[in-house]
Amino acid sequence: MLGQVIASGAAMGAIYALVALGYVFVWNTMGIINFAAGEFITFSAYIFVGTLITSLALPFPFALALIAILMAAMGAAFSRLVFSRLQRQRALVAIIATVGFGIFLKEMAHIIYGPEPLMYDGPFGMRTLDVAGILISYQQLLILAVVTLIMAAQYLVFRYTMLGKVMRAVAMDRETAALMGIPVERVLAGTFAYSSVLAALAGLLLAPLFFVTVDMGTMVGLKGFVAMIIGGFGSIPGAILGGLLLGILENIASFTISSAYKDAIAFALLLVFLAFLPQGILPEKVVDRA
Amino acid sequence: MTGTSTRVALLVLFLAVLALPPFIGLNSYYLQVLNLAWIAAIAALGLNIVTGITGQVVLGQAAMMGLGAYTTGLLLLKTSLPWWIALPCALLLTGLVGAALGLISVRIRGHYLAITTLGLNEIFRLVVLNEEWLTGGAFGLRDIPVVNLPGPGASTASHLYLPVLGITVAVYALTLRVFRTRLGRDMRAIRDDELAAESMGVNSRMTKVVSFVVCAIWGALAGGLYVLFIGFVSPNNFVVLESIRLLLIVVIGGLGSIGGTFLAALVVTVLPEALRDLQMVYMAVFGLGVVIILLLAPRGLGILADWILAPFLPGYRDGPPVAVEQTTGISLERDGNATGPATTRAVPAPAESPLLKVRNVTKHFGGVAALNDVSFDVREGEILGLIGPNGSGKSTMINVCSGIVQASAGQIELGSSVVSGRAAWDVHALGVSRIFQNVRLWTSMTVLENVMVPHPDSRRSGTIESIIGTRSLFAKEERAREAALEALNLIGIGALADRTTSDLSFGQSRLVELARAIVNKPKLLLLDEPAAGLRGGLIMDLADILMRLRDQGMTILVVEHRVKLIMGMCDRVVVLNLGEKIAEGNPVDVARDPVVVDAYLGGKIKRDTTRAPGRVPRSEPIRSAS
Amino acid sequence: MTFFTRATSTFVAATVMAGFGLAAAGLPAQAQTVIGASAPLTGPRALLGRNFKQGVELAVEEINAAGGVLGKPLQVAFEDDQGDNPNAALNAVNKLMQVSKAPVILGPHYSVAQLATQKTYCDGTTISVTSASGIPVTAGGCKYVIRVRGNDEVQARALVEFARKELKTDKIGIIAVADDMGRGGVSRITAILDAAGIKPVAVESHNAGDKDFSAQLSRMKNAGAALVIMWTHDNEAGLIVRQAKQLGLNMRFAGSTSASEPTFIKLAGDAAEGVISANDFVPTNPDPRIQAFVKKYQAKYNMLPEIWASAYYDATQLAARAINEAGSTDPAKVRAAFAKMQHDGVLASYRCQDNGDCNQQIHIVEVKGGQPMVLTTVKF
Repeated sequence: MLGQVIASGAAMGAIYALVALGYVFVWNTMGIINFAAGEFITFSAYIFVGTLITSLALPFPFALALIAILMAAMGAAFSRLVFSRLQRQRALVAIIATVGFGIFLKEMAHIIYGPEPLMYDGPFGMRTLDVAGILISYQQLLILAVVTLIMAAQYLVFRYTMLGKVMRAVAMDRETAALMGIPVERVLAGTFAYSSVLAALAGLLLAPLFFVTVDMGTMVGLKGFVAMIIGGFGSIPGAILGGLLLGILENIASFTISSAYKDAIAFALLLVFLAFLPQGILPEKVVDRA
Repeated sequence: MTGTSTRVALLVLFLAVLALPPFIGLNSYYLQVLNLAWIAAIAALGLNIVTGITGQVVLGQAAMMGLGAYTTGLLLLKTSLPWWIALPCALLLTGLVGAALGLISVRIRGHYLAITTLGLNEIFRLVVLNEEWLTGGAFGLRDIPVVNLPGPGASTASHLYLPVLGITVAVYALTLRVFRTRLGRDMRAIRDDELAAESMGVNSRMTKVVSFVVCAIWGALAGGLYVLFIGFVSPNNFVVLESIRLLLIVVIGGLGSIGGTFLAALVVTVLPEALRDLQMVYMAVFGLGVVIILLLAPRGLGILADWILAPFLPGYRDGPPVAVEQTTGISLERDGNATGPATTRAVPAPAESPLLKVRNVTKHFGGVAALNDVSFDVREGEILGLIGPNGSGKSTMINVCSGIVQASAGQIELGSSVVSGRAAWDVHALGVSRIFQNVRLWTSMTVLENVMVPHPDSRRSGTIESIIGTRSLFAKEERAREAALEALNLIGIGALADRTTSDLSFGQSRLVELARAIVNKPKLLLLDEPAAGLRGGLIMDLADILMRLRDQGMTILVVEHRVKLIMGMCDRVVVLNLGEKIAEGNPVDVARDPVVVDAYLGGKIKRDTTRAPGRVPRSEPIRSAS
Repeated sequence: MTFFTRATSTFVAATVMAGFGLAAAGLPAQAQTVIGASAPLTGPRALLGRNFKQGVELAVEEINAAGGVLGKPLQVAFEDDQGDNPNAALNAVNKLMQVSKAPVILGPHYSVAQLATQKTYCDGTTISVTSASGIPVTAGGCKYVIRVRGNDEVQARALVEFARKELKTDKIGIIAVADDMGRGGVSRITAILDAAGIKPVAVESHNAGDKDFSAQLSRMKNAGAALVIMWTHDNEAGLIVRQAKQLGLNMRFAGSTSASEPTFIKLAGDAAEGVISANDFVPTNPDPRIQAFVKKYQAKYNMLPEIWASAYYDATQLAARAINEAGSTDPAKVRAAFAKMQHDGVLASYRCQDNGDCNQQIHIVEVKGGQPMVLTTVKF
């Protein structure tokens, strides 16, 4: 049965990894932690399920493309309006402002879509696959596949394309990048747009596992942040490893120790890491700006 | 000119209006809402101390309230102690938890601290929810005896209204006093620039612990009052959302504004009751409001509150500014008759006895050696110049000497005490003071406050006396104020005393920083490029000041690029290159030293020397590198 | 100067806001008989609040069509208590008592909100008619609480006895939500099993809003549970049976009222088939009294009624009748009228005990073909 617990944990961990990746990108280019990330997940899940799939009855691939575009646009807009201004502020201000913004998004979802949870079966319904006695739903497989794909694509883009180079240049030294003629503001907006797309992806991958409710993203967003700290603040491979590790450990601990304290486990793990391995598992070489 | 009396009158009027409700027959619903507002005001004030004033993000203040509430409730239920014992016990326990959290905050900062405190809040909720044997679980603690005091009106809410309001006002008055005296200055200094605070003698660890303890105690007081007044407490009272609501109060009131927090608590508690039909949208409005306030009007409601409370805030002066000897720029006269008691001292010849002994100091950053086995002395009463090309380790040397960077190996002694291995504030207490390469003032404070922070009388006031506000605290405050004014006058900028430092020009800021560095009459003054960014005239004035300070017995170690300055004022120089000492001696000799020349002109000379040995230029080589 | 102007205008704005807060409520017009309702109109429990409100409004319409209360039309003043938020409930109840002068308040619905407010209303200023099912609600000696639903004890006992008799299993596991509702349920189930000399094979809990139950379900399977009793909310119960089906687990599920609610059936889909629950109300109940109610409700709202709409429909009817029979809005007299009354409602035939419990029956319901069907009705 432990195998089953690990498999479910890994699927959840993949989602944390996705969210953690969004944090890493925004952190590396903007130096901000977006505490509203969980609410971006919620909001995009509502748009996807509530508007695109249910109200407009769009086919899945079309809805997928549309939600990516919508969230990217929203992310870019918010980046310009709010987050680029926060960059010039102290960390304290940025933290509180993103928390406030998260509340706003969550309440807006509530006001627009009402109190009833939305239901979405996903492209695969409830079918499962039996792998050596461990049952894995197609949705969980999809999550793992999508996350793997994103990681690979991102690695290639980041490593080998001009876009990747530009982003890395901005991340390393914004002033110099600006002097070299890189449109820094646009790169920042682009980064934020990308992290919003990651959140959207997390939202719609989660929707069939969870129901779409106003609280669906909050804990996932926070645990994604915990995953990033565990993996190594600002480190891309760390985010992936941290996410998977958190998902699996959390599930194992609630299986073996106590399910009542499941949410406490992630935070207890965070405390253990901060006490004994504050750099995380795969620390980023760049000095932490936190 | 009647500013003070107007404001005090308005304040008295405001408080009188607040005291009215139980006497004018308002029913208990309104009184209860107001009581809840006062309780929120106390808890939010605690949060403001840590987050707004000391700059440490805490997303778990509700857990502090909860701890205070549960402890009070459990003591009342299970031990039948009277409330006036149970409540202080709860404050004590929560204060201890706050101290632990403060110690954590020394290691964990910024985002880490935010997520950690949020996590602890969630853990607290889960514990009180699950440990039913102790806490009553999800149904909460019921039937806690409610305090009943005689008072106007018929309901508990009415009886307790004036006591709760009174406690709230007292808590605010106390916090205001702490804010404007030593402890408050230290907290604000840490928020504005922690590194500068530590180098200027502020024990950041102690100050953070104290601010967390006060935060926890105010939180516990709020929670305890809640229990004593409602008689019921459940895990749902202290969820993370409640912590965030308290944070909203702090932000809407303006981060760091004490009066603003009070008004915001009133608004955030009363407004949703007044506009009950709009419950649906008010959290959305508050959420967005926080973003807008932070970006566009960061002072929030503090604009109003701080105007009224100005007489109780630092930097307030009613009427025209106190007459200061009006000096233009720096006009210290070299004959030494102008000001200051120490000027009568004869110019001492640099004594041979070393004040600062740097012995084999090595500092590695990762694999790079910024300093490699460097040894030199700074003799008592001299100005020693520390020069070298870019990246030679000069600033690192200054940082190691002032204790903000710890050497990897080697030892530094000041007189008979070992400096290396000590915290920056302990080094400062030994008599080492410094200025920074890029001026680091505490920008939210006035010039006078900036200079008061490092003064020994500020440093010596104990935490307890700072909170209680003893007579000796005020005597020390007064001495620190006078000494700070004196230091400002010595530099010739006494007229700036009441200005906020963020309004100053760069040159003025540099001089304030210098005043701040000398106010405690340090034995050793460390200067990291003091002339950087100053225009010509000021530079020579600066040299005058430094020489005068030397003449008064101060020893100075200065990192500088400008050759004219070095040649003009240094008694000796030490030259660093690539982390190693390559020369030491009087400025003229060192300037002629071929090794030094070589280092300054770098590889180019080396190439030249290999091609044509003996063609090394010898005339004023350092200047070409400046 | 500009600063002063700005400060002044801010001050004026703040004063106006505060003043508005204190003076906003005028006295209610006395042309009507006013009672209060404290319901979760906003927040995460707002769905319950909507159904609550619809049930009450349907009842008010009928009562007024039949002549109102004390010869005057009945009016219900609604205040938002945000469900299980004690402070919001305190303010709502206080406002209804002090400002609306309501002699009877429908709700608060959540046990924790009930317990938070009992100190306030139990002094006799007002009567609370609630369907909060936590045991402590009527066990604290409060004389002014009336409960229209069976408490957790009734639900748990009916469910456990049915399971043991009909499903013939003693291998029972429990999954409960970690809040007032879940905790209350677990303690009752374990007490009842204990009395029969049985220990549950596993007791698991989860947080409200949790989404992933693989750990809890794995522990159930490991413990060899043949029947899992879920004491949780509709969403979570739906997810539990769904995930159990995905994991290929073949134990049976039973649940509290939530496991026959429309949200549960909708969310759980196929996985809901065969789930047993104890419920006060299902719209498929063939009882003509219930069918008449369902028809009226559907006509007005174009949706099927569920338990909370029915419970607070009954609560409104009971309150109106009690005031009429007392002939006065004096809370003490109304409370006395409750004690003497016998009323056939949608949930049950009510008869109030001294502690305020008025409903001692419950239906055992099974989901068949996507519909909740009443198997039997248990009366204590």
